Formats: sequence, structure tokens, C-alpha cells
Amino acid sequence: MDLPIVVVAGLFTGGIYALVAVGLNLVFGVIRVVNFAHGEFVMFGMYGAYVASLWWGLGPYISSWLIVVPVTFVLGVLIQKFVIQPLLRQHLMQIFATFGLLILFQNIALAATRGETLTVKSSSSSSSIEVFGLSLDVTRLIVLIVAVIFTGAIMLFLRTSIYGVAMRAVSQDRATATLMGINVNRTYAVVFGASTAIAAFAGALISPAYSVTPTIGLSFALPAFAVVILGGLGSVGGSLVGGLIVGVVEALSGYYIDPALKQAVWFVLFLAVLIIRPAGLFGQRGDVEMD
Amino acid sequence: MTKPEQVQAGEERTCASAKSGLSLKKLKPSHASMVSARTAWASYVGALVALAVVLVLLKGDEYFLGLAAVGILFAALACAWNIIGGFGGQFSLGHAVFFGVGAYSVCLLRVNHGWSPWLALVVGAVLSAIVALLLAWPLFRLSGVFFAIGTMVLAEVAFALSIYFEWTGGAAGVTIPFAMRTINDTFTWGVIFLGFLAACLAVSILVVRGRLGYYLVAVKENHEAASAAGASPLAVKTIGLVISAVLTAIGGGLFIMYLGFLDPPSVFSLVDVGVFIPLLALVGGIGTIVGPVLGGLLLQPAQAYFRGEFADLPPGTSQAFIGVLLIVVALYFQDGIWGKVKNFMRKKRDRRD
Amino acid sequence: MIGVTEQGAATLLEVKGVSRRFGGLSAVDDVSFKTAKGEVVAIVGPNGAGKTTLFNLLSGHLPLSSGEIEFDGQTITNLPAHRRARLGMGRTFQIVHPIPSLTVLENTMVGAFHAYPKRNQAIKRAEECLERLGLMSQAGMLAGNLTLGGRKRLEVARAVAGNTRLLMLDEVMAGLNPTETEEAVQMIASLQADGMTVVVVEHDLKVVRALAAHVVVLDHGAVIAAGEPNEVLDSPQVVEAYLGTKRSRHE
Repeated sequence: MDLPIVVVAGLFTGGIYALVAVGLNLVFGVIRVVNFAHGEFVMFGMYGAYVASLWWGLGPYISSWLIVVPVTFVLGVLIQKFVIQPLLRQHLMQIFATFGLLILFQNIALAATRGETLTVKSSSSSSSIEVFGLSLDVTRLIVLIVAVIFTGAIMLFLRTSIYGVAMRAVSQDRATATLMGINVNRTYAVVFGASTAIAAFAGALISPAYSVTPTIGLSFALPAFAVVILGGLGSVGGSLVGGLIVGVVEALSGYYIDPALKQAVWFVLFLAVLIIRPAGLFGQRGDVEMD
Repeated sequence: MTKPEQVQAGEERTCASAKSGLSLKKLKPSHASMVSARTAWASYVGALVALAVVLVLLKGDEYFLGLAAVGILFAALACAWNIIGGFGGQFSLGHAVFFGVGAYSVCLLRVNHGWSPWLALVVGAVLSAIVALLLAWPLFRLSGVFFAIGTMVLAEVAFALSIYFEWTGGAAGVTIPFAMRTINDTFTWGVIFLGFLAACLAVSILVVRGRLGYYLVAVKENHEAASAAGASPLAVKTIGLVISAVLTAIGGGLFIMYLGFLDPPSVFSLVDVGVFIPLLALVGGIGTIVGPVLGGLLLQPAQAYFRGEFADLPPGTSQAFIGVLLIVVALYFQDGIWGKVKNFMRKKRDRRD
Repeated sequence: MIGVTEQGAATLLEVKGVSRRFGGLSAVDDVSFKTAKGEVVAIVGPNGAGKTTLFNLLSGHLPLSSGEIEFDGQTITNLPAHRRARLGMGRTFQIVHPIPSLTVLENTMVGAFHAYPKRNQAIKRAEECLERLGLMSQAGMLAGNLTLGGRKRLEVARAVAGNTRLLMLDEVMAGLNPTETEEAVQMIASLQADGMTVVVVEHDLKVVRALAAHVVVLDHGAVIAAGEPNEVLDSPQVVEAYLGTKRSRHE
């Protein structure tokens, strides 16, 4: 039966979505900002891996740590300081500004590549391994494993490390956190930088499996929104579970209905969650709805 | 601040509406809706006449006439968006859906069934009203950003569906054969668009000055106070959305009649329609009557002109500029052109006292 | 179906066994009382007694867990807040909620529109209310620029603008100085003289004794006493409920 293969494919895609959504969720949970340009950092990671492979012959699993993550982190911190921070309480303007970033990055990529599609060649590009009689693509398997480990690590970090606790404090009560001596602005900068870095990291990891185009950002950002809503705002574990669910549902609907209707699937999931249980699986009531 | 004699005059006055208009003027209206009816409609007619003059002057220069005509159309679309996005504060990134419904209705009914485009416009308007009604309940439960996200996802879905289905023409879109196009003259289209702008502006003015406008602001700024005052937040937002959707759909239909051709990107594109129309409202002055019109008239032709002039630059340069503009305006120019003008005039008034 | 209280006047508001539970906790527990037309009723009780929650249940901003509410003989238990407002129930909020980008006049118009749908009618009605509440001189001012006292009066103006018959005031005296408090008492008394029925939530017991014909005392969400102010407020039970808050034991 094809079903196991479809489900596994869904899990793999779900792992990617989960990784992308974790960063989005962190930013929303701590800073209470929605970064519409989030998907563009995934694209950035993919291009970074491509460039690193082309110029320095580095495989994506190395270049992602060495180059992509640090550069994107710095970029994220700068964006937070100059674009997000001034607009902290102005939700409408945040939408405009982050959309502006989205359009800017998309079109910088378009101008730089003249619309060409680029692919990273890697030793694991077309290799697969056999597990339980199924042939699994190594790249995607790695991403899924990384997503699970990473999410677990972040959850642990938030719960136990002093910085994680500080972040949770800031997300719950900005004013009190400041009084307790936590540098809120610095926390925001770090969280935003981290979220963009995670997104870029995910992009670098999946670069062997996907060709990168200037508009690929939205195709990760949109499902990431659905994942964040499904898993529950501010819940990192929810992002993992939500991501896997979205991935599997997408794969199943692609198999039984039509793969071209991916976006419709995301929207239906999004709407369904909002109608049935806006808080999502692990989120808190009142974050998303008005009353 | 008001002076004692003016207060006396206000209190003694009876309830004649013309007089209340005058006494309100002395009470220093800070809100556009509080100018007297005479002033509002006089300015309205004046603006339309001025634009008509511009069109006449440009007659003969096809290129600039075309820029002006489309600029007027987008000014009207920005005005329509502003009803729910500006007055109502519900930031819709999904107006491309209504635009598309109008455009596709006209195109498909005309080409496949030979309908009169004007009749098809009505169909498009009705359909978009239905879509707006259906979407209102799930979407309006969401606060600010999530409403925006929801509408954005909706637009992306519409995009995907229009490519997927064959009867929408798929990715190639639909072309209206030349033989079927009744009006081909740019000047005439300019006049039609001006008529459409007149309609959108009139609706805007009526909304702002009437109960719906006040309720929209009340619901936007304070849900509980609005419901305590007798306004149903859901009903108010829904009506605002339906009005905005219907106008936008008509605009979409008219645009496609002008172009003679549509494909999914030209209608559902986030950059060219979905975010662009709100940007026009923002630049001109969100939440004001004049602002969106100003933004549309200035920015749309400017953007088209630059795209044409600098066509040899790498692809995406002009759009990248739009991105930068969005960021800069959101950070430093939030009130928009008309917003800044109003602030300036208010400061002058307050200083004069 | 009109209920009759001791004085023989018609009942405007009847609250029957109203409760509101959050999880296992009862914020409001089986509260019942009646308000006659033209009466001023005060709901009092120590902090956390559930007074504002009860108000939210009455105005429709919070759904009931159990019980019924009748307004002028009509069951309104399941009506949303805006429908209750349209029937003639106006309320103010403990933390004032002006609409900041509208002027004082326009704020009042918002309250008037459901009864006076046309613009000019609403303007005229709003001006009447502002005159009544002494805000006419600030009619053109942005609501966000008013002092606290002005904003409270604006809340009342907006609440009465729509042909209101039952006015619910939630701690309207809070934060006012003695002069302003005295003015507010006069204003409520004059509204009552014109036939308005008023329900107030109040901490200041002097005000309660001055205005209210009937007092309902809440503690931990339940009614512990009800009746005439002088009887109820001096009863040992009520005094004990307030014990510790010397400030509220005015003599």
C-alpha cells in the first residue's frame, strides 16, 4: 500500500514546517509580533547554502552552522532593532513593515538571480536508506530528526536555562520582567535573531532536497502560520506536533485529492482550528480571538 | 478650545440642521465627518471636476492618459479598502479576492456566455458580497494580526484555486477577444473610472458621516464600549466588509474590461494588489476620506511610470522599492500625506487660540 | 407580566438566581433582586465580592452560568450586550472606555445612534445629553484629552443618549475628589427625578445612603443582605464583611 509512504512523506514535510514554525512561534510568544517575512529567511538559508557550496565547496550541513546561522542571526538582530522595536505597540504598522521586508527580500533575490532556479549539489542529494522496507530520502530524514531534537532542546532550554526562563518571563509580563532586572530589549533582539537563524538553518538543511526560487519563502511561511495556529501560539512543542499534522494532512490530501491544492489544505486547517478551537492544541485561550 | 460666546450660541440654538452645522464648525471639528454637509459635498464635487479637467488636458497623450486613468481606478480601490481597513481598522490583506471575483465574473461571463459586461459586473458584485458575508463570521472573531493572516491565506488560496481549475482559464488566464470589446478608447475609460471613483467617494462620505462610520470607529477602538452603546461589533464589521467587497469587485470587473485580459497573478498578486492597495491608503492617509484617493492618484501612476522608465534594470527592482517604501512609511510616515496635513492644520488652529 | 415590589411600583429589572462560575469558583452565586422603575439600587460589598462581574452579567458582557434576567417583563438572559443596550439598558465601565479619536460630542452620538439613527437627530440628542451633563463646553474636544471627571461624565452621557431607561453605573465615583463626587451625586439624583432607574455599584457608603432606596450587599459572590440602606449597612453581618476596611465605615 502506498499509504505508509505518503504518511512518511508527510512527516518529512511536517518536520520542515515544524522547524520553520518554531522560530515564528518564539517571536510571537515573546515579542508578540508576527513576522510576515519569516519565510524569506528560509530562502536566505537556502541561498546561503548554495553560495557556500559554490564558492567554498562546503556542504550544507557544515555551511549551515558556520556561515548561514551566524550571518542570519546578526541580520535578524539588526532588523529587530531598526524595524520591529520602534513599532512594538503598533500592530497595524508591524504588518506593513514586515510585509515590506518580505517584498524587499523577495525582489532582491529576484534581481540577484534574475529568476533562475538554483540547486545545491550535495553528497546526500539523491541517496536514500532502507527502513522497515521503505525507501527513505536521507536529506528529509535528517531534517525530521533535527526538527524533533531541536524542538526538544528549545523546550528544555526555555524550561531550565536562566535565559530561557528570562524569555518566558518577558513573554508573560514585560513590565515585571524589567523590574526584575531583565534587559527586555536585548531579550527581544536575541529572540528575533534566533528565530531568523533557525529559519535559515532549516533552509540550509533542506537545500539538497529543494530547488530555491525567489518566491519559495511564502510556501514555507504560509504553512508555518497554519502550524502556529494549530499547535497553539507560544507553544514550541505545539509547533512540532502541529507541523507534523499539517505535513501529514497535506500529503494525504495531495494523494487522495490533488497535490495542487496544497494552499487550500492549509487554509481549511487554519479556518477549522479557528472555528473549533482558536487556542490550538496547546495554546492559551484569548491569544488569538477577541472575546 | 471653544470661546464662551460660541458655547452660548450653541446652547440657545434650536434643532435646525443647517444651524447645527454652523455651530459645530465653531466647535472646531477635529473629525472629517463633522464638517458641514455643504462643505463635504462641495469639496467632493470640486475634486471630481478637477480630475475631469486633468483627463481632458491629457487627451491625446495615450501614455499619460492611461497612467491617469489607472491611477484614478486605484484611488477608488484604495478608497473602497479604506472603508473596512481604515475606518474599521480591520486590516484586510485579502481584498484581492474580491477584486478577483469581480474580474473573473466579468471575464468568464462575457467570453464564455456572451453576457453584457455591465450585467456581469452586477453578478460579480453580488458574488463578492456573498463571499464577504461567509467569511465575516470566522475571520472577524480574530484580533488584528490574525485577521490579516487569515485574509492573506485566503488570497493565496484563491490564487491557487484559480490556477487549478480549468474553467477559470487556469494559469494562462482569460482573454476577451477584441471583437467583444465595446469600449477601446482610453479617454472613455478614464471617464468611467472617474465615475467609479465618484461612487466610491460618495459611499465613503456617506459611511463616515452616518451611523455606520461612527460604529466602525467605536468598534475599532473599543469593542466593549461599542456594544454597551448598542452597536453589534460583528454586524458592524460585516456590513463594512460587504460594502468594501462590493466596491472592490466592481473595480476589478472594470479593470479587466479595460485591460481585456486577466491571469491569476495580475489579479491575486500580493504585491500588485493585496498589499499594494492598503499601501496606497497608508501613504495617502489611512482612515481619512481624502487620504486613500491621494495615495492612489500619486503612487500608482508614479509606480507604473518608474517601472516603465527603468525597465532595463534587473527584474524586481521596482517592486523592491515598494518594499522599502512600505518599511519607511510604516516607521516614519504613519499618518500619511493627508494625515500630516490635518495634524498641521490642527496645530495651527490650536495655536491661533 | 409586571412584578410588584413593596412600594407597589412596576419592576423594571428582575434578577433571578444568577450565577457565574469559572472552573470550580463561583464569582457570582445565586444572586436575586428586583429593581422598581424610578428607583436607585446600590450594589455594595467588599473588594472581590463579585460586583463588577454581576454588572457584566447584567449588561451582557459576560454570559450566565445559570439564572434568568428580566428587563421590563422581557427575558433578556441570552441577549447579547448590544441588544440589551438597544432595549434601554445603558452602562458605564469601572475603567472608563472613551473612544479616543472621536470628540466628546461624537462619543455621545455613538450612544444615541440606535435610537436616533439619522445623523442630525443623533447630533441633537447628543447635544441635549452633553448640556444635561455639563460637558457642552467641551463638545469639540477629543475624548482622549478630557480629565478623569470629564471622561466619567462622558461615559454617562453616552450611556443615557439612547433613550435609556435603566442606567448601570460601575463605581462611577472612583477617583473623584469630594467636589466632583458631590456633583456626581446631584447628577444621578436629577436623572432619577426625570424617571431614570439607576443601579450603582459603589464603594462610597455615604453616597449609597444619600442616593439609594434599596441596597444589595454582596460578599464572595452571594447576597448576604438586602433592604433599606440604613437597616442593611449597619447590620452586624454587613459590618463584619467589611471589617478591616475602616475607610468604608463612614459614620
